[in-house]
Amino acid sequence: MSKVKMIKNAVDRMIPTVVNGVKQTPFQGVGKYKPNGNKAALPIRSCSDFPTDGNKTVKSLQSALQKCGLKDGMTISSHHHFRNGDLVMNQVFDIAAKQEIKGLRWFPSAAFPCHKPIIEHMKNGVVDWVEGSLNGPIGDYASHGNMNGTAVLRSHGGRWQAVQDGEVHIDIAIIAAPTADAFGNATGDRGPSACGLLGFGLVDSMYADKVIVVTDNLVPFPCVPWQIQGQNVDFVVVLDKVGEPEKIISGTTKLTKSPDRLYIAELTAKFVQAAGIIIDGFSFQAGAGGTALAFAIFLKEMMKDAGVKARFIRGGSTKYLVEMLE
Amino acid sequence: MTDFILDGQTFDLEGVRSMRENHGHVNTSPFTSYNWHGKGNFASMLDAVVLGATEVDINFNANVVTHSDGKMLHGIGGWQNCLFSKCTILPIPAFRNRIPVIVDKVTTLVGPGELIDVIVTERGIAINPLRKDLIKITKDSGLPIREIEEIKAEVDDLIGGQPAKPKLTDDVIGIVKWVDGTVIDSIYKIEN
Repeated sequence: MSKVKMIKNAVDRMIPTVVNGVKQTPFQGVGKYKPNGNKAALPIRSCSDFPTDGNKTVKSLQSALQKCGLKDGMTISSHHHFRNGDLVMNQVFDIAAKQEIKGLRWFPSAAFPCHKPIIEHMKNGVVDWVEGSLNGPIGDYASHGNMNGTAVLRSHGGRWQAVQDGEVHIDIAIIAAPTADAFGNATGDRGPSACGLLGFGLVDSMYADKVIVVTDNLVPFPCVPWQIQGQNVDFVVVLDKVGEPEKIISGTTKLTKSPDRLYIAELTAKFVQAAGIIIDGFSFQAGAGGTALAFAIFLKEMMKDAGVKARFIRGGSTKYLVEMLE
Repeated sequence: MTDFILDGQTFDLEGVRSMRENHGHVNTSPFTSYNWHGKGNFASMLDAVVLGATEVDINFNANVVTHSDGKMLHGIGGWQNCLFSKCTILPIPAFRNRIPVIVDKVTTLVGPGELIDVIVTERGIAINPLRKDLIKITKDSGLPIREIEEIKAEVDDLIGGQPAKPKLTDDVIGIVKWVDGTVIDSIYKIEN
């Protein structure tokens, strides 16, 4: 809990000048703040420190964490492509607890209700605080002032910016991967636990000191496509199961049934039409909320009626968008 | 009906299958899509973006991380990044559990009003006065376009005024970063 000096920013909000020991810059207006200097960089590595046969597998997650030099106060990162179906991160912090590690910072792209057990690890001091999107129980825990550090909420782009600009240094990145090879190339689009893509973990793989790929589908080199590249990976661990893809559909990603929300979605589509946006080659993005999904369905009908084709749609993808592509 | 899906995350298993099978379903990362400290990103190229919000105020500022009770229960996701589209629309109900969604001042300011163009509720559509072009082009559309203050007053009237603000302490339990790494607002501990 910070009792540090507060200052007013450009939108008249009071903000702390220091958070978790890091000096903060107040918001200065859209497009006003332009930092200079260089981006963060990694130490130079040598191939001679890695197996020439490309086999980076180790026998367990515990052994990989040990080889990465897991110790007190480190920052451990992970991605959230499994959303509420992640099976890896609770295991990571259980291992840290067993080894009596303290004061870790967990830096996920997002935490979900499935990560509730990590609250116990905050109570027993293994994890100091969670720095990432806090959906559900961990957010509630933090809202009551129980977390040992201050929550820092960032957008997806802001998380990349923070790592790239050196605001957050990742000691160990854990990348759950539905398919990987022993060299560390990995993809999310195939395998029994396929979760789509691994884009949120990409910055972690590029900037972390140590990178562990955890998979339940090890294929012979090369794993293609390779959204995560083996040249950035230290160790590969094979587990029975890394995630439950059926739990990707969680939280906000359900189509609304409420008549009011459907009406709002329809009005939104009609507005887009009236504004002259639905023309050949246009682009749009609709979020994961139930109303946004309904909007996409109304829009699709309008596009059909008008014989209009979009150039691109930005996902989060759902079956409704896939129908429009196929 | 579209040439490409440029995808940041798959929200269901059809999305996963499509990404594997369709050449036009492309995996992207927050670097290409959203990173403010790059040489541009995709977000500002979008013609229209439709997003949610927990609260908005009459200056079109919006909240997406805390509820009206002050609890921090959601992440930002790509929400802030998406605000840079050419037309950013927030379709939101005028009430949630009898609590009005249009407020005098959002509990947490996550998105500055200057980037939010349109708010759509079941009681009408409000266009940001900064977007004179959108106001002009939709003027004769027959759609229920109204001032945001008018929609708010109607809702407040129905429920007999704005409800009491959540009880918050002055202990900061979280901060909200803007896309450039600066701090746009603080999140406060709720009273137990």
